[in-house]
Amino acid sequence: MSSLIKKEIREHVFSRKGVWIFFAISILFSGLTYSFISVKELSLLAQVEVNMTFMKALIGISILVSIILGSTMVSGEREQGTLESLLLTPLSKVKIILSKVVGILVFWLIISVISIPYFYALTYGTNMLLTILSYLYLIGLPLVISFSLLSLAFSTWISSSKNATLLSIVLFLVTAIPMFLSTTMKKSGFAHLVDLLSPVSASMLTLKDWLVNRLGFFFIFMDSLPVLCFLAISIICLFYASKKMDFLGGE
Amino acid sequence: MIKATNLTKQYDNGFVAVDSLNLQVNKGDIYGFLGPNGAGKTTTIRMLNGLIEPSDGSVTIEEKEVKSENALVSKLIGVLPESHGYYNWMTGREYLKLFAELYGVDKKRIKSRVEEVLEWVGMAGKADILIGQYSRGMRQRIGIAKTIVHEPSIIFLDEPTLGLDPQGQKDIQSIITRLNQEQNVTVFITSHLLKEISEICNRVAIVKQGKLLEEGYLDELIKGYRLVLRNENPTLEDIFFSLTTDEVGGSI
Amino acid sequence: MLKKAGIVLAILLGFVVTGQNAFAMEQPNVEVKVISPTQVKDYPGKETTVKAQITNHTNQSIKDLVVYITMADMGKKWTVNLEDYSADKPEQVKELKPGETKEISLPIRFVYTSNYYLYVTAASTHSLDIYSSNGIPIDIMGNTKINPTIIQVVSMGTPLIVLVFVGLNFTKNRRKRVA
Repeated sequence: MSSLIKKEIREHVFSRKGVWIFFAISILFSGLTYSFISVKELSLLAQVEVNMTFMKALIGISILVSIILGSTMVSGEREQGTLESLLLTPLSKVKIILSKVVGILVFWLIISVISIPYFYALTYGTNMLLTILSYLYLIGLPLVISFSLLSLAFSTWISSSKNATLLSIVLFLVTAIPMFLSTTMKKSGFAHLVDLLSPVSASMLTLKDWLVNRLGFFFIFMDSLPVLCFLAISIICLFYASKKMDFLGGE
Repeated sequence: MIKATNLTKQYDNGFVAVDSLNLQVNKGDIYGFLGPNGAGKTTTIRMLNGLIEPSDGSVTIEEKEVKSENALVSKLIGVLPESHGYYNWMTGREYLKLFAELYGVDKKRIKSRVEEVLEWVGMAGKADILIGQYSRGMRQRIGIAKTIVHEPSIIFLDEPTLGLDPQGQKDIQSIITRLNQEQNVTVFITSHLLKEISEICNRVAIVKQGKLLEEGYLDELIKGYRLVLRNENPTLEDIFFSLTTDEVGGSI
Repeated sequence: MLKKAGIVLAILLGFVVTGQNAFAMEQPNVEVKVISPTQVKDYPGKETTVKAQITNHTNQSIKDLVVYITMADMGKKWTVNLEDYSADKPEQVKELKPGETKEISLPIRFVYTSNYYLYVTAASTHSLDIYSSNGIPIDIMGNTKINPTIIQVVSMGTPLIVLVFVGLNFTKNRRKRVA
């Protein structure tokens, strides 16, 4: 399995496309960070809010990039004709899928490492850096991985990379809807339901309660429950999807 | 060595791709599996190597039952599928090393084994070039190298010379014959190229619309069809067309 | 004579009426008063709880009062989105009996640098009148902890370091190509 993991990392993380994505992300981060001192409105923001804004951007970008990556991993192999050879090896389907999960995880970890100098600069003069990094790896990581696992599951179920990517992006947008709605809209009806259940909303609430309101562990844990439930659901979906990774017949 | 009993594949819409197929491949055979397009050749080969589940019947390889995700059987066989893709960003050598590792070849032996198979298929000088830059013939050679890198006792080749020029076809046929004669590898090869099968195979099966029409040793088949076809020296082509157009069946 | 008396009477009556109105203006029906803080001068991120008293000066119960903070950004001459300041949750007073005073606590967190006036406002579902306190001055000063030099170094340096890795990766892959 380690050989397959190395292959996934070489193919997706250290490929030409992969490293250019890292460069593009670093440019984005630089633009955003620099705007916190150059754009008048943003420069007047409290330092906690500055870091919250950067964290939201980081998580949003990470999720989008990871779901695009995950949604092409299995369907891409099927389209280029390499899946059959992999399935014929002694490796089980679960191990083949897990090696792809590790590939996505490594990809995200590199993005998170790129973000560290930016967080250092933005938390300078405060003792927030450890809290920020704790949030990033305890809440941000499960959230990004959950979306990646689901996109990988779609990639396994759906033969077309394009359709798998589309479905993954729609799922992300549905869970991110509350971020675009006003407070009033989120207080009742369907928007309220989505806001309650959405792991993206839950992660934002956890961020606010952890950094701004400085609530205790119990409240943080309760806030982050939808994220953890979403992770569990995505693991189950991926497990079942891996069993369906096969061929119909003579196609 | 390979035994298929009553092998059947029926889909949900009722279509029967393979219908009660019985075949046996003995050790050391180069077994040709012939049939027109849509005969069920690829479906059969996928059931034989465990990639798809049969609706009925069973397959054993060296007396081990073939099931999906059977690691033991996977190590005994090598497969070169018809629509075989490659990792174009890898070199030939890296590609073979990957599959040697995936098949569990001893880590200390991987390097030497990869060099060995590269020599076998005549790709030693081109092993450090990206697969994306290979010609079709070179890809097929690397494909065969990958199929044998873990020293399987049986290899399945699904249309291995498809799309190759005459020289390329001859080269692949030569590799297959050498593998069988020098390494004692049992070969199961599907093709719709009758000339190719008649040149390299010692045993053939002819299928049409999922049904086995004929099976046997090639020289015995030819002897047996002299009378039927009223031809002193019938070719495999003659036998094939007589079976697939007249639907005359029988075993010899 | 009678005419003069009528005019004097009308003038006196006018005083009485305006006097009553003046009296009414001096003491509103519902009085809202900010108890603490009386002013704020701090950096962004400052959190405080605004304590206000609301008194019913009428002889009737006032029901279903909603008490909330309003702010005006006098520095930028803008309105304020209270959600940004975590001050968008009003307090409700079910009933304020005649002469009763209730104390209300409303949390707020000042996030943007500027000068504001903060008010505590009350409204009832049974009346169109609005009752507001006087404004308290809020002065949120500029944040000085972010170091612009570090930001510039990181913003320019990090992409350059990543670019070096891109270059190394490109060089490594290029060696595999056919000459």
